[in-house]
Amino acid sequence: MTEDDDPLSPEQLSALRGPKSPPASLEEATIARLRGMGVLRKPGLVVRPLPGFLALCGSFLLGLAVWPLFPALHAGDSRPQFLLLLYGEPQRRPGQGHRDEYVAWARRLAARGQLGGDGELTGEVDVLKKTVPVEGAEEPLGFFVLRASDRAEALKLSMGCPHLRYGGRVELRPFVVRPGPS
Amino acid sequence: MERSDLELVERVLSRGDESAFRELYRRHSPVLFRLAVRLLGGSDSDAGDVLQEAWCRAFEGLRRFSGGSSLRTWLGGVVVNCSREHIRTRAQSRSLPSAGLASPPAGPGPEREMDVRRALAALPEGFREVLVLHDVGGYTHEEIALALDIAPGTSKSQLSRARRALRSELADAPSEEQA
Repeated sequence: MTEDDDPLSPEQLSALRGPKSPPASLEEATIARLRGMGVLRKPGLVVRPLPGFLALCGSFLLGLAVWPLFPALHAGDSRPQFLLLLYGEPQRRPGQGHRDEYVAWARRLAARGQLGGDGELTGEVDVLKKTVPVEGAEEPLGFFVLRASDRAEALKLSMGCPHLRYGGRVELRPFVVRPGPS
Repeated sequence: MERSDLELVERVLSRGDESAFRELYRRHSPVLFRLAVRLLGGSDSDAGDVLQEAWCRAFEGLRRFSGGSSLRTWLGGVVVNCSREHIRTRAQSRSLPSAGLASPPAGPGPEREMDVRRALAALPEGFREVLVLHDVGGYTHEEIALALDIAPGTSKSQLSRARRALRSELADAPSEEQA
């Protein structure tokens, strides 16, 4: 049996293939979405990799929305802090105001003094091992800094993150900030 | 000089190079779009959604792309997977044939186009995928085997049966009889 010993007629093949091509607007829409995912960068933007560390360009869009609600830098707040990392592009339909949900969730946390900050990670990530790039590591899209009395409370707060509803994955990590040497 | 797929992928992944992506997009999207249109039953709008989703998923997974198969083969597999998911989601509210026939076909020969959609919709999913990849996308049986994770022999036998079924469906169609 050869690759094509029982072909369709040229007329049938032509009808099957059709003259279809993707709409012109789809290219720009796809590029815009890939930019949002941090895969593509606008032409002319030059990134200089920082050896041995992540080159992160912070775009604190959510922060702009919730910053006015932050208590005065949480002075005197001794509760543990947790880093809530967001992974995976949220699965959504065009036109859905998913970002509003993130902002609303962050505002609620901030109003209760449970949000220490947030941010969106954009731009290139370079993970280096000596001079050899390491590929395959999943990159976080953004983060929230949670303040909670303990891990259980932080987990409970995390469960309300809209990112989970959109098919994303979150990772919760406790952290401490130590003052640098003076 | 035309740059290779792997070279363009590398530029996108390492620099976020938009012009490299555009080159890849324009090189592969016409065929991928036609695949999606036929896999989904003919709706251009749905095919556009699937194509965009496929490119995004492809670049989520491209760091794991080993180059073991061609990029074209790999992208074809992503389009098939996205189309399957789209069909399953759509099936919750309506059936495949009615979904594909709901949007009026554009261009010349709308009756013939409707016949093709009906005939494809009547095929089992596996047959339809092999037929579309081979006869619409121009994939070889070896490429189809890689994209669908089946044996090349399975691809050959399914293509033969799919063509037989398609011929039968088209022969039964009223516009075929009138031709």
